[in-house]
Amino acid sequence: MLYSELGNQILNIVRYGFSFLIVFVLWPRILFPGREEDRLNAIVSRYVKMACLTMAAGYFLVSIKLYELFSLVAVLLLISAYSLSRRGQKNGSGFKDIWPGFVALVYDFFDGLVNPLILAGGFFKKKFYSVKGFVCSGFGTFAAAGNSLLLISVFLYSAYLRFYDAVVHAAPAMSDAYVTLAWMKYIERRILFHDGIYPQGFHIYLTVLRKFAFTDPLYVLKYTGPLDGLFITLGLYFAVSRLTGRVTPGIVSAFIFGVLPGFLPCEWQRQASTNSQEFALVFLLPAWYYAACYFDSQKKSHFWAAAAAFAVIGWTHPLIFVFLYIGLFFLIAANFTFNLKESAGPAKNIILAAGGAGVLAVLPAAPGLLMGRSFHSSSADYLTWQVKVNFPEITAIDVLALGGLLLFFITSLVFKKHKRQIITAFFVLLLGLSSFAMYMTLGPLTGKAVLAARTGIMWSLLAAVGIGAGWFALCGIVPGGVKKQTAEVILCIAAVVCATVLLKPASAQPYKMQRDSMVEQYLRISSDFRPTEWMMVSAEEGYALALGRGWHTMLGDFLSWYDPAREKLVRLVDGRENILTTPDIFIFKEKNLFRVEEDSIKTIMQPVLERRAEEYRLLDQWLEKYEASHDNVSVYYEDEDIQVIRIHQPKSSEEKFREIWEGGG
Amino acid sequence: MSGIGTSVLTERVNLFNELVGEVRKRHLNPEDKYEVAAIIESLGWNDNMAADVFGADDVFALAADVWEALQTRPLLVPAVHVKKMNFFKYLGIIISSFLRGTIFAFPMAVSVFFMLTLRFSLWSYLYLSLEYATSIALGTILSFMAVGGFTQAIARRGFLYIGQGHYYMARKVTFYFLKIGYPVCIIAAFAFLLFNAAFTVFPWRMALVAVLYFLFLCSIWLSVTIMYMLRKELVFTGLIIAGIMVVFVLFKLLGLNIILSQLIAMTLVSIAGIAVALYFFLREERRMEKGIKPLMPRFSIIFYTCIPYFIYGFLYFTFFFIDRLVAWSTNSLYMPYLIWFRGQYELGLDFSLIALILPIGLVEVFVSEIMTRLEIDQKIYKSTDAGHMGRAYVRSYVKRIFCLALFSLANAAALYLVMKRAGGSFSLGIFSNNTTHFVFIWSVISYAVVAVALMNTLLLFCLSQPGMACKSALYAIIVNMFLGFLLSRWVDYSWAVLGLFAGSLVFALFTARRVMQVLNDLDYYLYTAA
Repeated sequence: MLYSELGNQILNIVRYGFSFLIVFVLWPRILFPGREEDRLNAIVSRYVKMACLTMAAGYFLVSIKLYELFSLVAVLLLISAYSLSRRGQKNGSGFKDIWPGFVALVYDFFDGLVNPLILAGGFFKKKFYSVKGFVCSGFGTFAAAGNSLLLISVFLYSAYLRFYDAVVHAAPAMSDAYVTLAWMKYIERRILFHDGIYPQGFHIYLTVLRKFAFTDPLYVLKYTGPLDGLFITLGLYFAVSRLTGRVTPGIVSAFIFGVLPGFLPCEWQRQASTNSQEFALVFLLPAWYYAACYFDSQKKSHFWAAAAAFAVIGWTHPLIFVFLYIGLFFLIAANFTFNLKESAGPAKNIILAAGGAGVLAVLPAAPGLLMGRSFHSSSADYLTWQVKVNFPEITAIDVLALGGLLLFFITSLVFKKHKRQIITAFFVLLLGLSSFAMYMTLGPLTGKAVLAARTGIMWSLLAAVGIGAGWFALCGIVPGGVKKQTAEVILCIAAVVCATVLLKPASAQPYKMQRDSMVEQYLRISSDFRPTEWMMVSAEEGYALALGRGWHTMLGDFLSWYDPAREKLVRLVDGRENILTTPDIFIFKEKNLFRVEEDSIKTIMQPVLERRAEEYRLLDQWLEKYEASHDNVSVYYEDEDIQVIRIHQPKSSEEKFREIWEGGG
Repeated sequence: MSGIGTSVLTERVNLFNELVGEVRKRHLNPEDKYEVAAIIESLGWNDNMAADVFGADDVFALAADVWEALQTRPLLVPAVHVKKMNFFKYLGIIISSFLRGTIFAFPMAVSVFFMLTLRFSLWSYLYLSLEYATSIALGTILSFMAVGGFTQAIARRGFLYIGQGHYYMARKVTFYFLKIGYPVCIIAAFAFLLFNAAFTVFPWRMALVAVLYFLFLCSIWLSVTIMYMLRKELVFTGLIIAGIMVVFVLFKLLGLNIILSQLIAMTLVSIAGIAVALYFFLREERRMEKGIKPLMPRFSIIFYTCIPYFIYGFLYFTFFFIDRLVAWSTNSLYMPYLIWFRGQYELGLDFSLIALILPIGLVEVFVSEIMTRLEIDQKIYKSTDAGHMGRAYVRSYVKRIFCLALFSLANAAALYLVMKRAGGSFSLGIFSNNTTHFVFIWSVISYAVVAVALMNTLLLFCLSQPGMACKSALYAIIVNMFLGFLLSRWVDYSWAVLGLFAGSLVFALFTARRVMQVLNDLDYYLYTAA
């Protein structure tokens, strides 16, 4: 089945979705049973906490070399049991309280007093009515129906823009994806910091999803990036709608970031790839939101949700962690400005949580440093890389966002709103202005590539928030009741439709490092042949793909190690002959060399491509010699661009017997 | 006047004492005054008579007086003089118990014999591919775990009815459990396939083979249980041999695929097993004395009484296989699938299982001896000597457990030496392969310890304390799994066998503690077991 075939995509999306549902939606309901204000709040809060818990468990288990599905499930089960017993002590709904009822039900079943089918029917009927009620409440009035339809449309379009590439193209997006894939597989093999010290929280998160999805890691890699982009959009909707108390401004913000990301300075193609930075961004707005809520409510649930989000960001991406600190600084400043007396306590706790998250973030690096590992060189180089950067141009979106932020603050003052609303507006204003200033000045003034490329990300988020907040402020100025709400929704729909039609946002098309057909052949081999029984001989990209499934040898090494004239494939290792006994060897050959369409790495790739062209020429000669003395070569796959050659060396029954009973485990 | 009054009073007292005596004749120890009232009425007394003779308001008032009198009068029961058992009879019991204990291993011995000679048995083959070896091993383990509970429940309930001579009820309850057992196995198989369809944990070819072996083996284990319950182990051994012969014909003579051959043979064996079991039941029923067929208890009652045995059955087989699952799921370098058969580990465990055969025979001897004696001693010991009796049994138990432990260890050492001397194809390279050798040594010791645990468990079962056995088995599984997991991941996959060893120790120690607890308060536990 081809990668992009509908059946294959449905199957793998279902597996991925099921895994996500189990680990990040259903299981957290047991682990974190507290009641939140609303459904979305509960889902977001539990997701944040579960991400934090799985990362903590993952880091712990990998560092003690026990990370695998069984141990992860055991840890989560233990915590669930503890959570259930605590709940039982608190409100009598724990395991001990539920058990007698269950036992009575079983006895009744054996006596024929209850019918399990009728019971199940009743349960599903109840659930159906609950969902029906929820859906109906979203479509109860014209404004509510309009908002719901608009929200669904915005999210569907946002999903299309991000998922299109992941569904259609088998090749991982951008060069970073191969590093992410390899690191994810190293984590599965319980190796931390394989290529140097770098936060591994995101890679642990990916492995957790893969372990429960039982699918090829490639699919997890392909789907998680787009999903993260969608979650950032959801986070924007969530934060803005909750902070303003209205749905429409949230939809506006989600629309700006979700549907028009191409007009924001956030390198949005990365959202169709899979990177830890975008994953950390998912938690940034919820982190600020829950921290802001904690200042207001001083509820434990808000504090722990915020603290969990801090920890997740700390374990995932240092730059986003810096953004988090900047936001928290302004949040505390805003609260101190307008509410010094009541803010001291929450500020102290938030500072402690942020500090604790900082300590937790660097904690995993300590064993790495003790083991003599250095920091990941590419990332360290990128931090110090100097480039010439021009001042960014100010766009219409920038102006709209800045105006929106100002208007939001001014209206909150003019209309003498509640102190809490003024603090929120002031916080958003401070954060927006500072992120805009950083975006405009830090890159050009310092010449640092990292600042020039990445400060725009924070501003992109704040720009979307600013436009949503501005919409809220504008609508607040106009007096009116239900009719105003209806008009607001109609206006919003019109604006969204017009902007989409005029700007025609197209799906992300990140560059690739290899042809889709090569990846498809890897997937075919991986499903047709038993892991460890095949070897891929290819260029560098094949390594991350084959890692953990089959063996991989670089084409250049293969050609230099093995003499085609000899009966067996024999390599000299420390003066000893080492026979290659892998039953199936697949040599990946490019008939037409694939050239990377990305300016930033074209020059880096040029010598690599020249080397590959030479290797393919040598491969033809090698195969000619090999075929002259062997009859176990065949073409496994061929199209106009690539050829996959198979060397088949079956095991004898005696070898199989020895493999089972004498070793090879 | 006073003289007449005195004589009437004396007469009444005598009549009352007579009545109390009559009531006690009917029931030595009535539950309460209401039961006394029922007895008085059954003796022909009514309200008028009670009022006329004793001046009581009604029978209930009279019963209350009788109840009071019963409470104040000591209950004297004459000691039963039980004859000491004849030595030869005693020896006969011991030999038959020993044989019965060891006979369970006949099917296993037959399988091992054919594996060594023909290189295949009813459900195994030495030259399978690793994929199919994994599938069959998984199917086998899951089948034991799935039907373990049912086999225990069937055996417990079936033995109870057969002991009372109610073959009809034994058949009813056995087939009732089969009626639940088969659907449960089929549902489990479907659930496995559905899960595999969604997540492709194993390729389809592997998953299907695992499920087919699972289903057929479940069926075979269920029929084994019935044969065991009916004490027809030899018949079942015959069926196994016949099954292997079918495989021989299909695979060797007709050239069919080994998996297909085994599946056909297993189908025939399981069908034949059930048919033969039904035949034996019906034959015994025909021999039974004809009379009123008692009604089956409510299913909730059957469920309630069987659930501890059911749980124990599941835990017992889980304990025996969990170390394999732990070892086979260890990710050495590349893990092809979630669980991956490792022949070196399996071989070590398979051969060490022989170490259980003789100790089980001895367990059967000790337990049946203790229980036979207990039945007699209950009648001989005075209630005031209950503590003394308990202590005597503790001493007796300790002696036997030491004896069993020594015997098991000596048997394990002997097995090791015999295997080492035998060498060649008989030992299948146990000693030439470090992993297999290591697993063999530790598993032989573990099974020697398990024999002790099994004696304790059997005693607990005989004293109606299955809950205690369940808890001990659960702790043993936890230790087995936890320690095995850590060691297999940190050192080498074969170190999972040390989990089995630690689990066996825990199993033996915890059950021993429980047995001591029961024996120390023997009178109480005998009362609750009655």
